[in-house]
Amino acid sequence: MEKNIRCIVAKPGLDGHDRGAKVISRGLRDAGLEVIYTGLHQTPDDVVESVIQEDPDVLLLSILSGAHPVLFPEIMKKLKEAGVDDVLVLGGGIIPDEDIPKMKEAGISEIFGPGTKIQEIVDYIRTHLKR
Amino acid sequence: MESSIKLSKTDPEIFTLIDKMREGNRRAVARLITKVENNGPEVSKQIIKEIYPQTGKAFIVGITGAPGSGKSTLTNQMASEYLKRGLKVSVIAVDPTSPFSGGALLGDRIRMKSNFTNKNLFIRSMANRGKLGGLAMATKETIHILDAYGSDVIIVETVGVGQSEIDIFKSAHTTLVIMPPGMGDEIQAIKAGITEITDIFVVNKMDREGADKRVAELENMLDIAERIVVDQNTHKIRIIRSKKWRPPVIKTNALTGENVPKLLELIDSHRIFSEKTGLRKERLAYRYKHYVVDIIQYFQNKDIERLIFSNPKINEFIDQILSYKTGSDPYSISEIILELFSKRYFS
Amino acid sequence: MKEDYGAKDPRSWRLRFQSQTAGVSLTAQEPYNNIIRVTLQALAAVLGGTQSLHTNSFDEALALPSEEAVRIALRTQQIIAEESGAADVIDPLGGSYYVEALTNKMEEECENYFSKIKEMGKGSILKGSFVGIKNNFYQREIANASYQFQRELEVKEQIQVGVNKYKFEGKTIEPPELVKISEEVTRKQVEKLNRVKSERNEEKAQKCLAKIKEIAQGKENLIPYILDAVKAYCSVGEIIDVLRDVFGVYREDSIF
Repeated sequence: MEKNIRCIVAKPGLDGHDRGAKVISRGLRDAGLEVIYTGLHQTPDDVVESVIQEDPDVLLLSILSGAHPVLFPEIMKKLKEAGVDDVLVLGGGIIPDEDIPKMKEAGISEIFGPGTKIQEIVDYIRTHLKR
Repeated sequence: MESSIKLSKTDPEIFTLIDKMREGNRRAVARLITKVENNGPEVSKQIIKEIYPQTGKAFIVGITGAPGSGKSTLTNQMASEYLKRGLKVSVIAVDPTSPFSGGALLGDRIRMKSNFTNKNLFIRSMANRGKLGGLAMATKETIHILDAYGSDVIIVETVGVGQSEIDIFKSAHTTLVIMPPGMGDEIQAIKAGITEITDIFVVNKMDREGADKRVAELENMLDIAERIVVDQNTHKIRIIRSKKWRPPVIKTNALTGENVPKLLELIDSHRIFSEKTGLRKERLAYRYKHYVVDIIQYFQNKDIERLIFSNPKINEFIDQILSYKTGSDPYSISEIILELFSKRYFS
Repeated sequence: MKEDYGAKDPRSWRLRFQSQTAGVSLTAQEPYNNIIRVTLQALAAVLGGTQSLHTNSFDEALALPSEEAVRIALRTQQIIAEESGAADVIDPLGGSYYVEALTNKMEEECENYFSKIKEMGKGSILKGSFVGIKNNFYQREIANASYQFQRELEVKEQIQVGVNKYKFEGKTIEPPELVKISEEVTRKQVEKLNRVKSERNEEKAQKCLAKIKEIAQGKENLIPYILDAVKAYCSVGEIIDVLRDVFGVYREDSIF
């Protein structure tokens, strides 16, 4: 049976810069993944509900507005409360280097900032799936 | 040689998940769907065996249409209406897998943002994983899972390419085909035979030019179709669609929700009509016949492949084929293999 | 405007344009390089005769702009304006063989787009513009172009100095303090907003909002009424809520 890697690309918060998320979505599709793009203005509850229903292997969060110190940990907390512990969570957008350790502590496996190649993300996903 | 269908391994996690699903745990539902998607009939078998008695209750609406017809937006409106009525709604949104990359962009969920956190709505996006435009078996199994979960209405939505209309028709109680307004193009967009399987035609984007034209074209086409005599003696689709149900053509505006309540009424009428006239039972029979054929074919193919590709005994037969004698051609040899095979299978 | 549409007012024949330097070209790696990138882009805009210019901050790819980065972006414009002489001449590159050839090519490709849009509008560019919005023509062009750009970057058909060529593995100059938005900021802003709302003339504010709702349903220009509301200390959120009621919310079609 064909097993494809399923992922959700989400933009939490009010940030409207979706070009990166869309380019990544298309790139992941071209690399053979199944991508569910959930669009702009997602609340943490929206994101978590999508994860519960779609049961993806990977969750990619994109924020360019500086709100990540609040939104990322909140999403991770809600995922934990919902009993979701085997989804690989990645972050992208504008996330200063100095914030990365804290994001990782919250449960984000890796941050892929500006200049990342699509193939880097694909390779990371393939080697770091949690299930 | 043991048959594949009997060899399937038991996955113990399944029973835990099914229990959780019965308690209403949405994550458990999602995990079960993932299992049928990734592991095929071997695993699906165990799940379906366990949950089947709890199925048969949900009302299944199938929606198909060309890209750009506004299907997903319309699905969202319909879901909203059903939710307003206090019903539990599930949506399965199927998108095509790219034949080049094997990946897919599943873009229907985003159209349903307004309802995301309504606990009575469950949305699952699925790629058809290359089943040549048809519905993967996983989709049919997912319908059963969502049925057992307690959905009152299950909406299955897919792009109208290849075989997908027929497959939707096989899986749904009521089938809708969504079309955009005619933009001067010929109604060749309507494929041959579609009048046979469509229960309701929806012309969406009714605010645009060409909507009325499209409605008129459809009505005209349906007039013509009605005059064709239906052949009762074949197993073809035609005997399924009773002549007494003429598919209504309704205009909608999926963005504003205009006419959507009316659409739901039409779906209701079709449901009542099907139950009263026995059409529902005919369709279900049609559906399950095909389902059984699919299952048997799947396991049989596996068995044959195992025999031909893995069993060393095949080499004797290959030697015969390579001898180029009379009676050693691939057809004759296949006949021999098939006979041996059936004997073992049914013994 | 004059030939195709018979416009009579000479002011309507003018091409006035605003330029912004390309944020997408700025890198997180070796951020000070971005000052050079922004300078070159700003100079190009000035030489091209732009009436209005926005220069990006060099820490674009790192965080929200810091005071210092914004100041440098401003200085970039000021230095070009006051010290380079580029803004003292109209069309200094006029007659340059290469620039004129590029301009012709650009004009040609623009005309291609215009005729496509005209076709979509069955002979009317105005109608075609709306059709393009509804059928996502522009979104698709943007999506394809940006995906292509990314692909070219990844195979090095496009070079980004410091990123896919001449990568420096050592320690670069630390950029100044990056802007951080703490939760304190949120709390303060909410407090401020509540204070303003409690201190304003509530009746006047509500009247202005009601007026906006009324005008929004007609064809009159909303801006004067929005200004009235703002002067009465209605918040952006309150004004948008009213407009949302009347117009509904835009729902994106995701075009990749």
